Amino acid sequence: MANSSKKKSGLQRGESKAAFLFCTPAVVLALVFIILPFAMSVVYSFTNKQLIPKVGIETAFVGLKNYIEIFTSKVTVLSFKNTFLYALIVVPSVLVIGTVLAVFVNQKIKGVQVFRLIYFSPQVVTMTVVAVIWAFIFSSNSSGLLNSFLGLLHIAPQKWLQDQHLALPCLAIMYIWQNLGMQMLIILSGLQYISEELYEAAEIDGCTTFEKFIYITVPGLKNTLVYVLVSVIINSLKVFTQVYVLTNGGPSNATTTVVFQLYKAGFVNGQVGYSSAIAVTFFMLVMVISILQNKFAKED
Amino acid sequence: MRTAMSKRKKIIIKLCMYLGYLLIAAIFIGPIVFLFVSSLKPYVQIESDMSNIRAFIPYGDLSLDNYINVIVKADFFKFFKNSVVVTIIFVLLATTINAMIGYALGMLNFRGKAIIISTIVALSIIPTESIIINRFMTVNSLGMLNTYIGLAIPSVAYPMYMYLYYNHFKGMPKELQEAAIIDGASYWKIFTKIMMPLSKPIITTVAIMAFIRSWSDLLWPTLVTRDGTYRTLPLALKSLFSDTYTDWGQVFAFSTLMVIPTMILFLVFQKQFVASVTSSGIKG
Amino acid sequence: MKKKIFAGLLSAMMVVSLAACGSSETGATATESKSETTANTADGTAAAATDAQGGYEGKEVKVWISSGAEDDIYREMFDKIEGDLNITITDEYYSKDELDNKMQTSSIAGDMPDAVVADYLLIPKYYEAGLVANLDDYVTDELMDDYLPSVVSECTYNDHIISVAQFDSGLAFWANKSMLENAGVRIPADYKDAWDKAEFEDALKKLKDSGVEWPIYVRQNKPSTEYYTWMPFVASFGGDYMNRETGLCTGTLDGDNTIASFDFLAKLFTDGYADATCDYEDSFQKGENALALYGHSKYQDYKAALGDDLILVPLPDMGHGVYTCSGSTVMIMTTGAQESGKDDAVWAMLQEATNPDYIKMVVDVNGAVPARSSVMDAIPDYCEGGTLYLYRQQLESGISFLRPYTPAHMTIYDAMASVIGNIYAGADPATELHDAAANIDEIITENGWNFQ
Repeated sequence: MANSSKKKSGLQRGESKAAFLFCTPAVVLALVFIILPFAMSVVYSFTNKQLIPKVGIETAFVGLKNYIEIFTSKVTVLSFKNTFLYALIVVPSVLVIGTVLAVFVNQKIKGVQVFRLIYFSPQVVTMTVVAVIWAFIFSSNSSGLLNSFLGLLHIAPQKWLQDQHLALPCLAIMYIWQNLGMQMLIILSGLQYISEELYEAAEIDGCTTFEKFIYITVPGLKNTLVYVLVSVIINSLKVFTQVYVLTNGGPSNATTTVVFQLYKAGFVNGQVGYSSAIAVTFFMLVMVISILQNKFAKED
Repeated sequence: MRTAMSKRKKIIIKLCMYLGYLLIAAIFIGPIVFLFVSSLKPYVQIESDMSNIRAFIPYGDLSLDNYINVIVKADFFKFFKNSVVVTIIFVLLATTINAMIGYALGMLNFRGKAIIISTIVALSIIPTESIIINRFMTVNSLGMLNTYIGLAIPSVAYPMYMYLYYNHFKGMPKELQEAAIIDGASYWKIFTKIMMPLSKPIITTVAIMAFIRSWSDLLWPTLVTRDGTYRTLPLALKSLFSDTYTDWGQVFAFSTLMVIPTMILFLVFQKQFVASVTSSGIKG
Repeated sequence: MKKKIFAGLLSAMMVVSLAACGSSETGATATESKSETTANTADGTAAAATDAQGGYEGKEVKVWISSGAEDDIYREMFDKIEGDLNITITDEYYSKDELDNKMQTSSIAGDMPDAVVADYLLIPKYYEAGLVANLDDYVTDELMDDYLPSVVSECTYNDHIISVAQFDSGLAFWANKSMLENAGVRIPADYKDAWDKAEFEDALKKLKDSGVEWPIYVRQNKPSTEYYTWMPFVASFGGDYMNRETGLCTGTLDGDNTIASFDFLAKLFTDGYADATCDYEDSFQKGENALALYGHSKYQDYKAALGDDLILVPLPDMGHGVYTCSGSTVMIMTTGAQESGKDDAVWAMLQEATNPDYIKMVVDVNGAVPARSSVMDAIPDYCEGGTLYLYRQQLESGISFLRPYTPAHMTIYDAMASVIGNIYAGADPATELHDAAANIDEIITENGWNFQ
C-alpha cells in the first residue's frame, strides 16, 4: 500500500487535500464544542470556581486540592465504584444476551421481522419515560407490579429501588431492556458477514448448535462484538439519566454514579472546580484502562 | 415414515421457537403496553390496577381526558414543533458531517489519520454532562443561546457516530473507489454518488441513534433555551413532575405522545434499518 | 511536524481556556461593582418611582416562575395585572430544576429576568450572588403590618426585605375524625391543647389496636418533602437542621436532639405505625391511615375524599413545645430590573399581586394560607370554626419555624432528601446525620456560605 501510494504521489496529494476537507467540519465542531470545553474543565479543575459565587469571592487556583478531595470523599470514591459495577453488570449482559438474541432472530422463519421490530422497540422510548415506567414496575409495595408477579411464584416482595443492594442492578436492568434491541440489530448485521458455507460444513462434521455458536458465530462476529463492547462500555460508564430522574443517587448513595456526582457538584453545590476535577479524573481513568486493555489485547 | 417424523419434529421446534419469540416479545413490549394503556386511565385506577394483569389491559374508566389536558393545558404541540425542528437539524448534520470524516478516515490515506482516530476514541469517553457548563459559555460567546442551532449543533460532532462510520467505510471494498478515480470522479462525487447510497443501513442506524438522542435530551435544553420560545418536549415533561403533586395519568399521556412519533418514524424506516441490515448487499 | 502541530494546538487551547477563565473572573468582579452601584442608586430610583406615579407605563417586565399547581391562575393574574397597570408582562414557567439552572447561568447569558416567583429557599443563593434587589425602600408599612409574622420572616434575609409573598404554607396533621373517635383518641381543640409525646404514642397505639393497619402517613413516597414536614418535630425535640448563627450544620443537624427526632421517625416504621413500602400518593384518601403529615396542598383532594371527616390536628409537643413549619413561594425583584430602570414597573406589579383580590384569586386555587390577615377574614375556612382555622392560629401565634434560610439550601435539601430516604430504608439516623453534616459543612465553608 505504502509503495503504491508513493508511486502516484500526485494522486496522494489530491487524496490528502480531499481528506482534509472531509474532516474539517467535524474537526472544527469537535474543537469548539468538545475539546475547548474540556480544556476549560481541565483548567477549572485546579481552581475553586463556583457557578454563581457569593459577591466578593474570587476564583483562585487551588492546586491539586480538588483532586485530593476526590480521593478523600467517601461518596465520590463510591461513585466510581458504582459506575464500574454498573458497567460490569450491563456490558456482559448486553453482549451475551444480545448475541444469543441476534442468533435467535436470525432464522428464516415467517414473521421473524416483526419480532425483531418488537425487540428493538424499547430503544425508541426516551430514557426519561423508561425511568417513569420502570419506577412503577419496581414499586416497593407488595401490590406493586413486579412484586405481585413474584407473589404468584411465592417469592417475597422486594424493595427494589429502595434496597441498596438491588437499586443499582435495577437501573442496569432498565438500561439493558432499553438498549438490548439496538445491540441485537448491530450484531445481527454482523451475522450477515459470516458465510453460510461455514455452517454447512460444520453441519456435515456433526457439530451441535452450541458448538457452531462457539466455533463459528462468535469468532465470525469478532469485529462487531468489539464495536458493541466498546460502545456499551463507554455508554454505560456515562450512566446519568435514570439516576437523575429516579433515585437521586440513593439509597445510601448506592446509585450515585460518576456523572451524577459531577452534575450534583456543579449544579446543586455550585462547585464547578470540583466537578471538573471529577470529570478529568474519570476521563484519565477510562483512558488508562482502555490503553492497558489495548495492550493486553495485542499481546494476546 | 422418517420424513413424517422429522416433519412433526420440525413443526414442534417451530412452535417452540414461536413460543420463545412471544415470551421475549412480552418482556420487551410489556412496559410499553403498560405506558399506553395507563395513559387512558385516571390516576386512581392506575394505582389500583398495579397489582395484577389489568395494568396491561385497557378496561374500566377509559377516556382521553389525560390527552386533552396535556394538549390543551401543557401546550404539547408547541414543544413538539420545537423538538421536531431541533431533531431534524441535528439528524441531518450528524449523519452527514460524521459520515464525511468517517469516509476520510476509512477510505482515504493521509497524514495524521491515526491521531484523529485515537482522538475520536478518547473524546467519546467525555460525558456531555461534564462539559455542559463550559459548552454553555462557548455557545453564549458565539451568540447562539436560545436558537434552534444552539440547541442542535454542539452535539453534532459525535465521536461514537464518527467511529461507527469509520468502521463501516473501512470495511467497504476499495475497488469501487479506485475504479471511480480512474474514471475521473472527484472524491466528493465518490462520496455522495457511490459511497453514501451504498451506506444506507449505517446512515439509518446513525440517524435513528441521533434522533433518539436529540428527542430525549434533557439537560442541555434547560441551559440553552432562555425563554419559552424554543423549549423542547423533555423539558415540558419534566415540568409535569411537581414537588407537590404529579398526575401520573398526564405524565403517561405526555410520554405516549412523545414516544409515538418515534415509533411511527421507526416503522416507516424499519425497512431501511432492519431489512437492509440483514439483507446481504455490499458486505462482499 | 505532527508533534509540533499537536503541541501548538494544545497551547492554543490552553490560552483560550485560560482567557475564558480570566474573563469570567473579571465578570465576577464586574457584577460585584455593579451591585454596589445599584445599592447606591436603589434609594434614588425608589424615590423617583414615588415621585412620578405611573412612569412605568408601557414597560416590559420579564418574570420567571417555578411551575406548579398555580401556573394557570398565575397566567390569568398576570394578564389582568397587565391591563391594570398598562405594562407588558412576559411570564415563563419552568420546573424548579430548570429555573435554578437558568438563574444560575443568567449572569453569564446576560438575560436576567426582572422578577422571579419561586420557593423562598432558592432565593438566598441568588441574593448572595448579587442577583436579588433589596425591597426595604419599596415595601409599605400597610403591607408589612397586614402580613402574617411567618411571612415577614420568610421575606426577610440578612435584615433586609428581599421578597414579597401572596401566601404561606400550612402544616399540621390531616386527620380522619371518625377513625380518631373510633379509637377513642382525644381530638385537640387547638395548638395549645396539642398531644404531648406520650399521648401521641398512645394515640398511634390505640389507632393500630382499633384496626387501622397503618395509623400514620408521612408521604414516604417522596422523602424530600419530609425535609419540610419533619421540621416541626425536629424543633419540638429541641433540634434544628442548621446552626442559625454560624450557618453550619455540624453539632446541630447531628446534635442529640435532632438525632432523637429522626430516631422517632425511624421508630414509626419499625413499630409498624407507618408503611415503609407505601410508594403511592393517595394512601390517606383511601382510608389506609388516620393521620397524614402533609401540607396544605392536599386540602382539595382530601376534602373530596373524606368530606366532613377531614380535620386538622396540631402536631404534638415532643418536649420543647408545639411547632409548625412555614415558608412558601415568594416573589422577588432582580438587580437586573433596577439596572435597566424597570424597578418601578416591577414593584408596581409586585404590589398589585399582593393586593387582597389577587391573593384570594390564587389561594382559592392552591389552598394555601393567605399571607395577609385581611384576606383570611373574608374566607370562612380561616375563621373560627373553619376547617383551616388551625393554620391561621399557628402562623399568627408565631410558633412556625423556617427551614434554614441560607445560600446552601440546595445542598442541605439534597443531602436531607437522601438521609430521610435512607432512614425509610432502615439506615441508622445518627450515622446518616453525622455523615450528612460533615459533607454539607465542607461544601458550605468552601463556598463561603456560612454566616460571618
